[in-house]
Amino acid sequence: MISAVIAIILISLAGYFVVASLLPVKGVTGLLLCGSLAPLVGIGLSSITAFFSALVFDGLSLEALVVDFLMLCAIILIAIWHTMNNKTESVEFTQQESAGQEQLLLYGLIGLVVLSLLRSLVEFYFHAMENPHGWWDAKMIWNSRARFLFHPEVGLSHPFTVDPFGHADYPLLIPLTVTQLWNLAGDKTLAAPQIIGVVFYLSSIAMLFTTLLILRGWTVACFGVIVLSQTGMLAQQSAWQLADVPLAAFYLASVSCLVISKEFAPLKLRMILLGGFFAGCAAWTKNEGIVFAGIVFTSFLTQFMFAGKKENTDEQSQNRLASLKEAIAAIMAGASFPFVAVLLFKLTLAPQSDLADDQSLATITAKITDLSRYQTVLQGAWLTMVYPQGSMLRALLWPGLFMVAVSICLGAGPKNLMRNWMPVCIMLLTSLAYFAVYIISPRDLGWHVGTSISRLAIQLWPTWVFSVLILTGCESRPATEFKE
Amino acid sequence: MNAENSVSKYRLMTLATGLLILAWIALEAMGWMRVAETRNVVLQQLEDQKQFGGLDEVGQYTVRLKELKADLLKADIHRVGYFNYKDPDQPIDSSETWVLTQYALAPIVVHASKDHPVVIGDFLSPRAELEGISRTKLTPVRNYGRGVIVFRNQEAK
Repeated sequence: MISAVIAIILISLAGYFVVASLLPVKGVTGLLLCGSLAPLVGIGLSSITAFFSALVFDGLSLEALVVDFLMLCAIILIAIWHTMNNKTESVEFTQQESAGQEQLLLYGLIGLVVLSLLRSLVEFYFHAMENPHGWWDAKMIWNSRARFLFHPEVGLSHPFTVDPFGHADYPLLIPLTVTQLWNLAGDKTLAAPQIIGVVFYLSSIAMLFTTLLILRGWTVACFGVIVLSQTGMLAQQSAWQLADVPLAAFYLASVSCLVISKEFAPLKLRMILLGGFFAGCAAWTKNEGIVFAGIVFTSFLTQFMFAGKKENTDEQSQNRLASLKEAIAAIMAGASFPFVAVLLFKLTLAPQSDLADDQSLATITAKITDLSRYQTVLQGAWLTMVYPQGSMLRALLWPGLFMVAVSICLGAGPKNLMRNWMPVCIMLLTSLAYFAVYIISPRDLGWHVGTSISRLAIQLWPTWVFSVLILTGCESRPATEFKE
Repeated sequence: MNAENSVSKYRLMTLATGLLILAWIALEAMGWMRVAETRNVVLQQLEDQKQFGGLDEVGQYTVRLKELKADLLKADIHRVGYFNYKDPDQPIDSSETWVLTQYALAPIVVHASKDHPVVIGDFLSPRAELEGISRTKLTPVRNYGRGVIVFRNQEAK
């Protein structure tokens, strides 16, 4: 247990060095931003370096682990060297001061946040006790594959040669991270996947808090934490070691970095680079992430092209073009590292996706024109909102209603939607893409929807909370002032 | 006029704050109900596991298959077939027990098929064991006890 904790701290520290070298920020909010992004960057990077080593040595043998360790060390050293030689002035986020009654309310709100968080951790603990090896998918896909990777003598391709598992085409971020913790801990401790679950759960909450704090101030940030910690299904799925929570964390990280890049010009390209990296990591976690990454790139570039006033002169037009080229280069650079891993995995190890089984133009057309399929999916979505797993206690409806009430009270409106349409657009398009996959699914639709829709909802939930809560604010400007 | 506006705005804010606090209390109460519900499930599971020496489902499979796994690895066999026979009157359903077997036997790949030279028979009751052995065309090689029998399929390559 302790060695697994030390291992995840080391991986997160590696991530911290990289984030800190990329973002020249100082102050408590800057520290919070780097700290909340660090575990995601660390896990993303270390799983990719581990995959490259495993690919070269046909498994995570001792030589592969040494090369993986050296690659990580090299990344950390480059990050430290970059931080020390960085001539860019550090910047600080400062929040608007509140006084008197407003401050009293804020303290009360922080109290509610602490109580909600503590209760959600108790909930997480009991769910982890309920399924110490993880829920069905964790046993069948993620931890099972990690158990293969932990034995390099059988070869990297051994479990993929014939498809003995469901979803053998799913990428390897989670199995490789579990294997790395086991390797660092020295045995297959049950604590490793549980720790990964809690890290992604807390990182999602910390990220939502920090990004909302930067963009909209203390009040909205506190309400964001309350909404997430009151979402029972999120704590449950994190404790059950499902990859949908890490995927949700990467979705949130990608979208929030891109929104911050728009609001704070000095950090623009660096945040775009991180946004691209997190979108790539989402693709490296689950196949759904590939769809999400495509939607993120398209929406971001569309927003970039149509943002601001129309240019009057050739010079302005050229500046905009140069800026667009820079943004494309930054997002591609960020996404390239994880996407190379995804591509290599798909080309060398992964079998064909089971969603492509028995699919032809005629069967797809028949499914698209079958209205009962739409009804089945919508019914499943409705049940997840109001009555998931046969209990109203875990319904997304309650934290959802609370979030909508908070947004209305804090002045969310169409004016802000016009200014911050990108996150909402990304979430709507991703939801639509999921819907479309259900419609053309080759599997029994009732079973497919019943076994997966609550997990898909959790993948999108933290980013939906972010997208709705940044619509708040009477004035369309960030609550944070940016000091250079 | 301004003072009146300010008072009504203040009242509205107080009302909104009060309603949000009430909503939070309701959410928190539901949260504690979820905690209590999950705690009861965990306690029931622990009670049920007492008859299996405190082992959960995964633990039971790990213990059942421990000797077999060691033998297979010693013989350098990394791929086996699998079938189960929970109840002779029911058709073969491999999904649940197959996942647990695969999880316990990794890094040995377990295929839910009999088309392999070495096949594991997984029987969850003595009656199922008798029925399973008599009905299959495979040759039993060794009975590991607790319903785990290894068969050889002469026809498979």
